[in-house]
Amino acid sequence: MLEMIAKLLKILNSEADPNQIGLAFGFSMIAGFTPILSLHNILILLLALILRINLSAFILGFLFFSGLAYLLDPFFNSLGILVLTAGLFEGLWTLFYNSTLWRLENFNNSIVMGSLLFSIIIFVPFVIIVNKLIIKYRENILEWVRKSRIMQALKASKLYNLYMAAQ
Amino acid sequence: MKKWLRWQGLVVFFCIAVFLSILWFVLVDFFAERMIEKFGTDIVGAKVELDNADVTLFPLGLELKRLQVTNPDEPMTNIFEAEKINFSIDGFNLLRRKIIIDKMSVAEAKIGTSRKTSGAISRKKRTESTIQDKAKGKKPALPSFKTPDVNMILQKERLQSIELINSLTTEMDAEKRKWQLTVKDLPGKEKIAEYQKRIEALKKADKGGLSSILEGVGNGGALKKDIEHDIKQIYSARKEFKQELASLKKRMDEAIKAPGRDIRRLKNKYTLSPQGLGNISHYLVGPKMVKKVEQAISWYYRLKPVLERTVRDKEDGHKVVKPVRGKGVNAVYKERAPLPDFLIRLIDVSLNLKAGDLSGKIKNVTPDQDILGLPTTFVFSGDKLRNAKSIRINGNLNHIDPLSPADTIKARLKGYRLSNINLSDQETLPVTIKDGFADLKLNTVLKGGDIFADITASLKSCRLITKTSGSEGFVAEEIASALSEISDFNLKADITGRLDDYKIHIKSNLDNVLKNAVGKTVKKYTVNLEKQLSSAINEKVKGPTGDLQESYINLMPVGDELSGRLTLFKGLLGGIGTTKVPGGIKLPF
Repeated sequence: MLEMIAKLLKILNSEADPNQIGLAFGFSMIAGFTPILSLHNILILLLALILRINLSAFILGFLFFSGLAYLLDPFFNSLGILVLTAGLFEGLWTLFYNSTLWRLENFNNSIVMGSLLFSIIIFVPFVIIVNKLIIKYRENILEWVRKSRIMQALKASKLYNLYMAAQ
Repeated sequence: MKKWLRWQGLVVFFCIAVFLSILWFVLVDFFAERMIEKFGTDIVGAKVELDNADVTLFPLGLELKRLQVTNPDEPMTNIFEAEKINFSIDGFNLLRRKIIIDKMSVAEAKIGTSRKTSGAISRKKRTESTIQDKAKGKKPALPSFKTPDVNMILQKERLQSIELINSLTTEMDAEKRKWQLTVKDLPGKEKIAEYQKRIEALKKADKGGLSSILEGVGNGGALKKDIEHDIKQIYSARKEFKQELASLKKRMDEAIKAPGRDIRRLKNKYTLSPQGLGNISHYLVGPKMVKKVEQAISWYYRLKPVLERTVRDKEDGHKVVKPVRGKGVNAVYKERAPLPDFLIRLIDVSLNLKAGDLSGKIKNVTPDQDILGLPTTFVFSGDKLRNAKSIRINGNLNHIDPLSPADTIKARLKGYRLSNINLSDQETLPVTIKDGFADLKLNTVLKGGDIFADITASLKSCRLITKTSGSEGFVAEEIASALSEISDFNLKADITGRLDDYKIHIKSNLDNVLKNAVGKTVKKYTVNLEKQLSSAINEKVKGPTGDLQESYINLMPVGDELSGRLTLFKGLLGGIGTTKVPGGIKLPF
């Protein structure tokens, strides 16, 4: 846990482009929320590797969102059932159902559909918000955090040693 | 653009893909083996084990070595064992999550092989006990052939007649107390004395003037009304008492006859009735047949998921299946070319039985017969076998319409050599066919939860061995002796009813043979037992019957008292009725 916080601080305090960090968290959210053995996650992994995004943020985000997904599974399940049983989309789902690629994607599973749909919908706003937050953090909070008593105390702690070791 | 791309990432991606492929290739056999074992164990309820599973990629297929399926009812026995099973899977359909196997071959399959270690799992015990409990409830038990001691019978059995007599005695005593209180509350001696005083007063009034006479007339009318009211009360009570007494008398007469019913009941329980004697084959073979039928039904339920899905909710044009917690649900839509999720089109089986080697074909194994539109069929046959002239077993398991499944199974065995076959495992009279030959016909139809089956067995040149301990009595010995002289016989069993509540009716020509052999002895023994029971039970009920009769007699004084009072009160009324006014004119009351 301490190691994770240290890594997060390292990423936020680094000189990395906020867009790269935001996109990494965005991809990790899709990979973390959706079942790991889904076809689209191969594409996410490929994008995470070939796009110049912050891999540490991706891994950290993946661990966080995977944990969060356990709590959100009932919501994803309900959302998936709602979408998959909506008469409006029946033609589309029937088309997908008859396609090998989409069957391999397991789109007709309520949790896959619910989590993927949710992740895709909030992907762009999420990346923009994370981006803005990182910029704001670096502009307004970073200096204050560095000078704060808590940070001074932390510098003397095991956390700081870990942070330094990770540099 | 260059700022956003990291081409070396492709190399990393490729390395990860290669690493995962190698890992899959190394571990896939192990996982396939574990999956088959787990899936099989879950269905059967006992261990399913594989020595080895080998996944081949070109063509995509699987080879299984030494598959053992434990019999959940006998954990040291395999219900099925196959040395080698191999099949190829349609790779394209596998991508669509459909397991389609065109042809599977099962080599050297055996039934009923022994195991080195127990194949029981914790769940097994429950399954077995359930079958045993169900079978126990349906088993026709063979009556004990021991000559029972009458005193032992009477110690063990509840005599309903004594209970009836005692309860009636208690009731009669309560009635007596109730009526004593009722009589106490009714007009009695004090009232009579009061009325006599009032009559005297009336008589005195006769000697007065006209005003006294008129007053007397009024008083006389009131007195008569009062007496009549009391008479009515007593009369009504006496009527009710008589009715109750008559009812109690009727019940007492029945209770006195009750020991006869106890005698008949116990005689029937501890002796072979003519009906029982005429259907002894039912008692002999029935329990074993019930056990076999229960086993067959439990296997039918175990294998039912292979024939049809249990959960499939249809909603509009699509279906939602298999709601598994935490795993989500899969929606199913209309396919252009519908195919079941699991299908084995053909299984070629070579089956090694004790009787000889059979070859068999099983077609269209799928839980989605409604999609395939074809039933599962099977046929096993063999001629000129080691221990049989011919065997043919075929079946049609039609679950195309899951709401009205219809399964038929037929079996024909000709010239099957019998050796040490346990015909009856009843403790009182175990019967074994040491050797012989049998022709067997079986027709079974399972339709919508109902079973209709008939089994005909013709047994020839048999040697029947019975092991009586000697303590089972002369009837068992005579039956054993009669059986030892029988070489040819037939058995016919009909099974009908719901799968969870069926009836077995067994007939055999053994019935007549055994009836003739032991009928006279059983009759003599029955008469003797009846006499002993009659004497002992009558002795036992003698005291309680006496008490009952005494209680009844004790009720009589109540009736006498009521009648007596009624007479006295009527007498009073008579006294008033003769009262005349002076001048000889009779009063109108």
